[in-house]
Amino acid sequence: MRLDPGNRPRPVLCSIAGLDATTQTQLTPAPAPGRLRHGRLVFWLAALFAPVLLIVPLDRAFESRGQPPVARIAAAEYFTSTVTLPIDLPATGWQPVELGYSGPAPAGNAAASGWFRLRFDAGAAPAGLWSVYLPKPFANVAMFVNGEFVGDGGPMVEPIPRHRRPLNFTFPARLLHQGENLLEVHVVTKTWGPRIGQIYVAPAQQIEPAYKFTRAMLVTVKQVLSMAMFVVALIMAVMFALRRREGAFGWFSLMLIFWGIHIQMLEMPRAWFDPPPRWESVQGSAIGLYAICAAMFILRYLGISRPKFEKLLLAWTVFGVGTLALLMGVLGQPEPWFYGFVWMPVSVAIGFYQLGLLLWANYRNPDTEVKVVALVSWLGSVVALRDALVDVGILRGNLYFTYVAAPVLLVFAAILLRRFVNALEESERAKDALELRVTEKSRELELNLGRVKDLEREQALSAERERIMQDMHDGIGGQLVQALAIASSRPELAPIEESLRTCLDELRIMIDSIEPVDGDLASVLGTLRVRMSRRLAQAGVEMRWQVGDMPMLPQLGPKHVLEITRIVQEAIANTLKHSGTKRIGVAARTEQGARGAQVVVEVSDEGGGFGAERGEGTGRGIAGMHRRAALLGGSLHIASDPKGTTVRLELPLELPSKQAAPEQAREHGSAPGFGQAHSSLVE
Amino acid sequence: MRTVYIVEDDAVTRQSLCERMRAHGGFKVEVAVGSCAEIRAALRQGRPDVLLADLGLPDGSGLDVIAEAATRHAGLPIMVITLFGDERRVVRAIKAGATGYLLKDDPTHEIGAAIQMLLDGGSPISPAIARHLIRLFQPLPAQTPAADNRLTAREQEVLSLAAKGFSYAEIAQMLTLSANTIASYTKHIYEKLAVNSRSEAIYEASRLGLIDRG
Repeated sequence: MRLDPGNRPRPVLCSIAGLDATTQTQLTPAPAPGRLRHGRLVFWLAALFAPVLLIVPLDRAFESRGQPPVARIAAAEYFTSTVTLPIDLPATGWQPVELGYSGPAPAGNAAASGWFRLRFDAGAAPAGLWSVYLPKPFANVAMFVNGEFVGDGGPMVEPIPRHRRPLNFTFPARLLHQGENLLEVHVVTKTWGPRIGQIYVAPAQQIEPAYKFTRAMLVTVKQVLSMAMFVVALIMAVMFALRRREGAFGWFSLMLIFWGIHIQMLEMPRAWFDPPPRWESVQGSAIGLYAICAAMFILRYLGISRPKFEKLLLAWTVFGVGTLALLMGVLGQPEPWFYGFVWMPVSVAIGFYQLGLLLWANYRNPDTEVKVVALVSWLGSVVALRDALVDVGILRGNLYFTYVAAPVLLVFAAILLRRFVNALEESERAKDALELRVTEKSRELELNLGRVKDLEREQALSAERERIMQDMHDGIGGQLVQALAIASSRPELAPIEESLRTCLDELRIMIDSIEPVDGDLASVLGTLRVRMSRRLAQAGVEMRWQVGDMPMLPQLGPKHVLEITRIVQEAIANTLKHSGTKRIGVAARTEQGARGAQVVVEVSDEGGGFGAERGEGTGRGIAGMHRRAALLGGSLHIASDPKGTTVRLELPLELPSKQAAPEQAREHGSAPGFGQAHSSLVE
Repeated sequence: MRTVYIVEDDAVTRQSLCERMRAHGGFKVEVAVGSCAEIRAALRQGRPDVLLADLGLPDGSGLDVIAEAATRHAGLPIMVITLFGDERRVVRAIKAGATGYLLKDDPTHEIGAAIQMLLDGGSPISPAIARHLIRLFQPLPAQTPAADNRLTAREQEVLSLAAKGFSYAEIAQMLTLSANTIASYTKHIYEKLAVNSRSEAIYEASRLGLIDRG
């Protein structure tokens, strides 16, 4: 089938064709093959040929199933007349024409009216039901077989329907003669000149499959698609109403509405309003608005912000639609140059921009979804181009642009479904993350509460310490100092003075141990050094102090401090008592032991080692040191030879917890009074 | 002959201190009293070379005496007399303006050495006090604006070594400085602490609306 070249091409498709011509040249030049990976090359090649995969099968289907397997009537005669019955027609004055012929277009707002006369052979004995079948008549017709009326496509007076769909008139065979028969077709139209296109006359069952197929393809499928568009548009509009920030939904909805209106107006047999130029202006505006909405949708979909472009687009929409309405609607201009030369070319440019945006977005940030959208856009463009060429008569066939709606709807339904699922998954993940955070926070809170409790306990302990200190200061300490002052003023009391001094030093070591030390073992040893310095000085012993950097011992509490102090004190006391050395070394450092990092405290002398001069009492003191070391989770090693003795205390970085120590502390014997009193005080 | 004022409520200890001073020979005890009121009166009338102050006095806190004396006689070396030399009392006294401390039972030569160190512009320190000071000078997230009197790297080094139990002589050897210099570092640290605690007190007071800073 083919339109009369003399007809004015429908500008809608023509303009889209222009768009496609531009985009096609954009897409065709493939990048250098060397830069492309294999998969990408395959995708772009497949994408390039996608339109062919739509057009060729459709062409084939219309070719094979859309035409009945009967001879087509080739010759006809045309006569311009406004009569409504064949009996009023003259016998002569008919003009022989081909079937694609179109009579003169209507002048102004008047309807064109004309008659076609055709002859056909009904064979020897026509029987049953026969059909006259017009696949795409465009104009409205009334059909007469041998002068008998067999049907029409609607009212032959205004408003006159038009038919972008097949017409089929069935009649009984008794109307036919044997051999040649006469078919007279009255054609009326307001849009173009009178025409009928192809025409078939044959027994009904031979015509019916082709008629049904063509009707399904041209009417049912397009109706279903445009209805689907309206339904999807409604869903999108609701989504947009619920989520105003998602502008893509709104624009997609509007885009579908305009496309649906365009299809409806294009396919609708009867115009809702006249004259045709007004109808055409609305239909043309609809497809132009479709292109604008599509561009806005693509911008929102890609999340690209182009405020200036959007403002320009809005201004253009107002200006274009306004001008169209003025020219075609109000003035009723039959040849709207603005439409063909301004409105549609700009729509082409917008379409080009949109496809460009998609390709650019995919180039910047390769994304399968964007690729698929670009593919659909490309498909639509090529099909539209082809339709336009068909429309102007360069190509033959049917118009397929409407069918592109199927992949468009499918693709966007899939995309939306995917996004919906993604959103659900994300919200689930967010929920999980939130739960996790709540759990974390409550754990943190518990921890903080614990810390507050620790702090409160610490404060209570601190107050208690202060009280005890004050007590010792005012009581036993003050008494000791007084006694010492008295003793030191009388030379005969010198032994008592020494004993009192030792008492006072012991008391100070006790006091020192209950002070918080922040896990600083070095300062604990340093404090002990200060407390023992007088005794060492009196004994004329030189101290070699080798305390290095040590990690903080977080568990280091009063009990640990006291145990460590006692061990070192005992070791130094033993040395002073027994070794006769003039030099004592105290070293503390971190070492890598068998069970990981450990702290080592060594007290060494250069005395005679464990000889006879070391007294009996030493054994008990050493046993006590071992016990204390064990209580600290560490161990004590004593190495002795004639050159000297080294007492080595190894401590873990993680000292046993504060709770465990006091129970055992009561068991060991050395300095029981202090140990017990101390333990009960600080707990 | 250096003049010394002593305030110590315990008569025996006070007497003992006076005797040790006399035994040393380098000091002359001009005032030896047992109450805040008496020492205040004495400090109004004269300025000693050294003030020795006990903390627990019958009619008030020795800390107030120290603070007053430090304000009235700028640069006056003040030593706090303590029984244990525990860091709480000593640090409180340093904040009030003391730059040294004595143990009540320190023998004569030690007292003499300590006072002499003070007169020479140095201050003693113990590992526990050093540890305490390290913590006090740690920058807090919500540091009061006026208390930005930080320690120098050298001062921090001295504190860190003192906290480990090293003597001034040992620290001096390690840092190749003189022991006197190390002692003077300590004194500077004490003075910074006193300045900081004074400005903290002012800050706190103005924050609470107790004084008008305008």
